[in-house]
Amino acid sequence: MQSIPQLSKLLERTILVPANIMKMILVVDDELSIVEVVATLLEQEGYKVLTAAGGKEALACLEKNKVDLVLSDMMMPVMDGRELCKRIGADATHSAIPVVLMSGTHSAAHLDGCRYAAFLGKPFDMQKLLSVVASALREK
Amino acid sequence: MDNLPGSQGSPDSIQSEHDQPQRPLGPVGPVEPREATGTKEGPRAKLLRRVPTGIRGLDTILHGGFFSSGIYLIAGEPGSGKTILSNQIAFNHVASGGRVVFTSLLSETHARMFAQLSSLSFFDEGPIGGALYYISGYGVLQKDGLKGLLSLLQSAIQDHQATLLVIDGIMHAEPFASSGPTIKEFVHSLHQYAEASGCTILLLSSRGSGTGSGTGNGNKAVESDRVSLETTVDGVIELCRERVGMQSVLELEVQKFRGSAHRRGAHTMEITGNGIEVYPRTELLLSSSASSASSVQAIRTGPASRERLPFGIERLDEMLLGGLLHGSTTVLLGPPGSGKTLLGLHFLAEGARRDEPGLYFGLNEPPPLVIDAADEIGLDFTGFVSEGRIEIFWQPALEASLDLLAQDVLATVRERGVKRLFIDGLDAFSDVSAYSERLALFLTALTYQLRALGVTTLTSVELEHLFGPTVEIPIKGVFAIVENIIFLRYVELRAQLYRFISVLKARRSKHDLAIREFTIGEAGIEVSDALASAEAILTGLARPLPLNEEPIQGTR
Repeated sequence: MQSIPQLSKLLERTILVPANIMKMILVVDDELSIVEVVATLLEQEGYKVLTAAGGKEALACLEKNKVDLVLSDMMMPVMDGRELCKRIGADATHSAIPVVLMSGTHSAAHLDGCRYAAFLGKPFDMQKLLSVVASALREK
Repeated sequence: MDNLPGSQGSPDSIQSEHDQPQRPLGPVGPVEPREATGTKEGPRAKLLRRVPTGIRGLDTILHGGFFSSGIYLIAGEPGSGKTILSNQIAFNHVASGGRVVFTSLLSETHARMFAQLSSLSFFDEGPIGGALYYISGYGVLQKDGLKGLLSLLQSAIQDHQATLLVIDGIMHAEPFASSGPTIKEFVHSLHQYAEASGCTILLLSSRGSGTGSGTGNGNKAVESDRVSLETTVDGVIELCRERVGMQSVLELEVQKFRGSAHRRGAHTMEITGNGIEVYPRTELLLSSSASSASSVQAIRTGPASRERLPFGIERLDEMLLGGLLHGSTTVLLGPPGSGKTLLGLHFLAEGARRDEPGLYFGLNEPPPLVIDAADEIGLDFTGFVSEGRIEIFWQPALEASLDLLAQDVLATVRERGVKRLFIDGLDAFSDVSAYSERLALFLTALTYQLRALGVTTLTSVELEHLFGPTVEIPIKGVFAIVENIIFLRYVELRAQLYRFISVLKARRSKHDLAIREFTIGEAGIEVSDALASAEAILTGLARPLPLNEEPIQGTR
């Protein structure tokens, strides 16, 4: 027989899953292994996921899709996460999209002039990632 | 890119550079012609700007660092330190004002690499994402092959104004060469771009375990690509891990370096909390410094070259006609317990009384035991050490690099202006050395450097046997290196043990040929008159002389 706290967790999950199905997350990272792991995790949680290997590709993706949140790496070739974040903020059609930045360092240095919803230092705990994403979507 | 870190030409201040504390990158001094190793640098090579690695020993081996806009291959088996070495160079480069793009073609994430590097002292999160930029080329390589990767890297150099580009895992690019440019063409194109933009490139490549410099792991295509790559680049540095007995020794060898001499052969290295430490072979450093006119002059005509340094033991100093010649090297030869260490401590204590800074360098006994031993015979090491007149340097005789030991000794000698050095247990050097066959050359180099620095060196060498007609010297060739040999011996005579001392060799000097008894008491070592009533004393098994037979005495 399940205890009361476990039941409440089960109920919470049942309620959240349909809501996640409605959300589209764009994962941007030049490290393919990170993209694969994060995308798989988010899809398991019921999110729809788009991926891009860099900032430029991400902007092109935003033009074609309705995205609810961008989860982007900081250091990427051609256009990095900071520039992507700035471009999203400067574009009236996308400025409402929350951007969560990730980086191999745990320092949010070099992010001046960049408006982001949250910062995640890699490697991160998967539960923390889900919690940050859910929180950023709620505050949208 | 006018503000590239580096310096013109190449430095060769071997004696100073090798032994000085790690210094920040930047201009590293004037160029001196090199004669001992490798090819000479032509005048055009001197026009090339050097990009120091910031790793002291490696810069010494490379005569100042890489050449700006050059492309270099760092190859080695897994676990040989390629990633640490390249990151350390990258962090050092940024610290000296450069900008770096570090590209990985491996599936390992940067976050994981940072986690592994974070315990090393050079690691600093500050410049990451700014002057030190990490990107992955793995995805682009998978999608667009070498052509896409080339385009990505060119953009990265330009976007980040990179003065150093590191590509980790270059051999992973090889499978993508079939449908586009070959690895050689890729490297050539990248090199051209780097040359135009003033960017130096380091390629990191794995090499099969045990392949050494050549044979590969049986995959002819991979081997062919590797050879092709090595012919294309400006330089090749190989890292490898060798098993010597039970020891695992990391080695670094510069196999190719276009446009400059370099210190050839294998050099040991270690991975420490500071990252990679490279120890150029001491005897190789000698080969280029020994012939310098100033060095020879310092030895031949030093202002105090005929000065004598006494032990403060009256009759022993008489035997040596006043003491050991300034700048000479002396071996104290004797079995365990014969008084070698105490004699060495006397030498240092007498120096301390005369304001001649002394250094005790030992591999066996820790400092408190040395101080106690000296204090017990009235030498007051406690006072001399606390006043800074004598320094005690102790390195446990475990696994250690010979070159690191030499580096430590020479650095302390320079730093403290040491005049008297006592190395207690020279034979222990052969125990810590992974390659005992190089010991004689190593000691030649070390004693030469000490001589040039005006240090009078005394060193003990332990004989294995207490008694016997033959003497086995544990270090081959050591007698040729030193000027003086003082022999300590236990002697059995009429059911009694005695200690005897004699001077077997004193190059450039006369000395007393007598064999004298000495005792160790509360007032230290006392040397008596020559023993006139026995013979065969040096065998340890003396025979009493007939009463009417007179011994022959004299000086040589």
